Amino acid sequence: MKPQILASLLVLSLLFACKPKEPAAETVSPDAATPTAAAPAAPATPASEAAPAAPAVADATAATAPSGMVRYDAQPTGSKTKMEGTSTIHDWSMESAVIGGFMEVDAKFPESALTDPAAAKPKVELFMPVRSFKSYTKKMDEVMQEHMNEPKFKRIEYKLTELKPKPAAGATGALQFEAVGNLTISGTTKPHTMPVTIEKKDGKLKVTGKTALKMTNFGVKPPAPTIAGMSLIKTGDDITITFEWLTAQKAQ
Amino acid sequence: MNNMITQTDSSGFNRRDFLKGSSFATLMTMLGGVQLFAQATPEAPAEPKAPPKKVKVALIGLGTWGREILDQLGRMGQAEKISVQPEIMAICDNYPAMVRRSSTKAPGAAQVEDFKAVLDNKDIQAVVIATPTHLHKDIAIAALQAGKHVYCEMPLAHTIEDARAIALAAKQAAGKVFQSGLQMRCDPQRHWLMPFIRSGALGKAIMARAQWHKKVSWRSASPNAEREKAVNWRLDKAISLGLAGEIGVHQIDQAGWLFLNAIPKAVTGFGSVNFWKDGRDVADTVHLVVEYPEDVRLAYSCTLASSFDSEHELYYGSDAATLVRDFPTSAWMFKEVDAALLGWEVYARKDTFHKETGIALVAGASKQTALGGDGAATSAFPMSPMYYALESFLYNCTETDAAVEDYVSSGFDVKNKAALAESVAATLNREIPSDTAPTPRAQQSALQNIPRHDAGFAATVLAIKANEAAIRGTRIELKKEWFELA
Repeated sequence: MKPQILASLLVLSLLFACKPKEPAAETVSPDAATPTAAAPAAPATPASEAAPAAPAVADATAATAPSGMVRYDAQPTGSKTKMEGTSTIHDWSMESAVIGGFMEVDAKFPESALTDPAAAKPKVELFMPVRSFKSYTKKMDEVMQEHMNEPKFKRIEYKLTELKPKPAAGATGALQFEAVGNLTISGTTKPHTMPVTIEKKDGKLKVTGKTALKMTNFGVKPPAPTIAGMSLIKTGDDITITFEWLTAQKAQ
Repeated sequence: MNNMITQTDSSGFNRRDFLKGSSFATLMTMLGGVQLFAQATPEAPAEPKAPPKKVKVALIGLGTWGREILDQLGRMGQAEKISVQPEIMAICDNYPAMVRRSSTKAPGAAQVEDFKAVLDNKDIQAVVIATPTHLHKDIAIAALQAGKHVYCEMPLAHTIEDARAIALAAKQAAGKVFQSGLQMRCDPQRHWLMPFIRSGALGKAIMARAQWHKKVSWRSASPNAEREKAVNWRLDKAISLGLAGEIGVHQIDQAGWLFLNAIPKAVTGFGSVNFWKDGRDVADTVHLVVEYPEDVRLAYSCTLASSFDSEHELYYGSDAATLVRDFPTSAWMFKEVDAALLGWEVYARKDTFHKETGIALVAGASKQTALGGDGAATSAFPMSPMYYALESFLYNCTETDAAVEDYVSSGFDVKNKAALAESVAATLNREIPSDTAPTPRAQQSALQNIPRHDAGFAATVLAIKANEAAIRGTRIELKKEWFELA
């Protein structure tokens, strides 16, 4: 057996934070500041009744869309987020399979967003439970949650402000946009821009995207865990988040 | 236990221990171990950590093994570096004297005679079932239906039908942990051995031998005839799986899981009462031959009439044999003279067994430890396999509860069992990157650490058939469909 060196490591730690590549604006838009005001207070589903003190974004999960709009709810399966980073010993990654939230869009979305400025400002809110991100060791999971200040800040949250279309009007299939919104990590909200792809298929909307962030931008200190016998393990400030979010209209 | 005390008693630290301890940890990490004994290494001040999470647990069945489990739970409650601890809410046995006898081990726990009262208590998150085998089914299924996480001792049941019923109930219990009591599968030392064996370090797999030898009668006396019958269920042919099933289930499972990664094809058995001629008809001495693919066979002996050489397993390869024995688990490699030099074994501790030299295979061993002169098999994992099994169980309970809570609070329908199960599995069954060095499974974060209903069912079927073969003195070909759940 070869001694498997350092790589083995176990224990590393991590975590994240982020920063928009091109900060869109210093001021948070009024829309983003009043997130749930527009969502009718519809009766909650049994699921959300059972939910322990869910943060504000969740209040919208069981709402119905305003007239003329179509509501797509996050699906319990089919979504995936991967968070990747570096350290002085090796690269690391964590994954989550839970993305909650909803999109309220017009019936012709996403094609409509290519030409209609109003359609390009759909109401989109999503979130990921911090502890649903898993590595493959307990220690790494624990360090991550500690640095993210979980359970005080249980979720990574995102609210869309606007979609800026990339392809020309008339394009179909998977459409690319520049998504402008606000990202909240560990209690710190920052304006954020990232490229996303939106595809409509069989009554479902699938959103995929990738963004690079810096932990320190969100007040998260890159973990540098002390591990017996090893010194100088430090995680890099930069992380990459890749996600695939599946939403669907409620079955009638 | 002694190792544990030595390692954690920082007040008794001297320079020699300090040097030994720090390099020990370094090497351990290099060997692909983990996080060990950070508390024994002064250079690594403990990070401020969240207090351990608590799992509210009840123990049903307070016989010899149940009380052993209670001891391990108590030990875990006192452990310092642990992320999850049990809060023993209730202890339960249908024989009141047993409940009273056990109460000193769990002072704060409710003392209960009817297991239904345990299941009715909504505060209890998890139950450990250690009743006689034939009583598992009703309790396990009711517990799952009551929404409890379940740890069920092995064998799961005394009939294939009952075992299947339990396993199916477990499979359908979305968002609940079901762990089969194959505690050897949770032993970090064995997790450390597995990649070593699978990497081909033993050469071609040739054969396996295992034994469990003790001098005990298995019979308990009681002033009450009814109680005497109940407490001696292992000697009742109608409900007992005998030595082959009750004892053999664990070591036979190891040959398939640790050594061969294979399902057996046939089992042949012999059994007889050679010593305890007290009128019993359950054999006190059993031999089994279990046949695996590629003509690899396990020869197993199990007796209540001789204690010589206790319990151990031997896995023979064309380049080396491995001996695994004792609790805490220890292992040695015995190399053939024509086997290639691996390198590290030059530095490893050697122990002499009569005229053979055993190279110690110790998770966490180091050159310094090896030459340190105290001769102790210094394992970073000094507790019994049962301790690690329960630790895995409790950890998975908290992880699973968190995953279910995240699912629900994300607005998803808790009544959609299929989606719930898929979401929990996707969250907890994180695949380990293939380029990652082996990590003892007890340190991993995923549910794959534990023997679930499917592993428990397959091992139970094998135990039942092995007992049948021993009773009839015959060879039984194992049909694939016996191992299929649905």
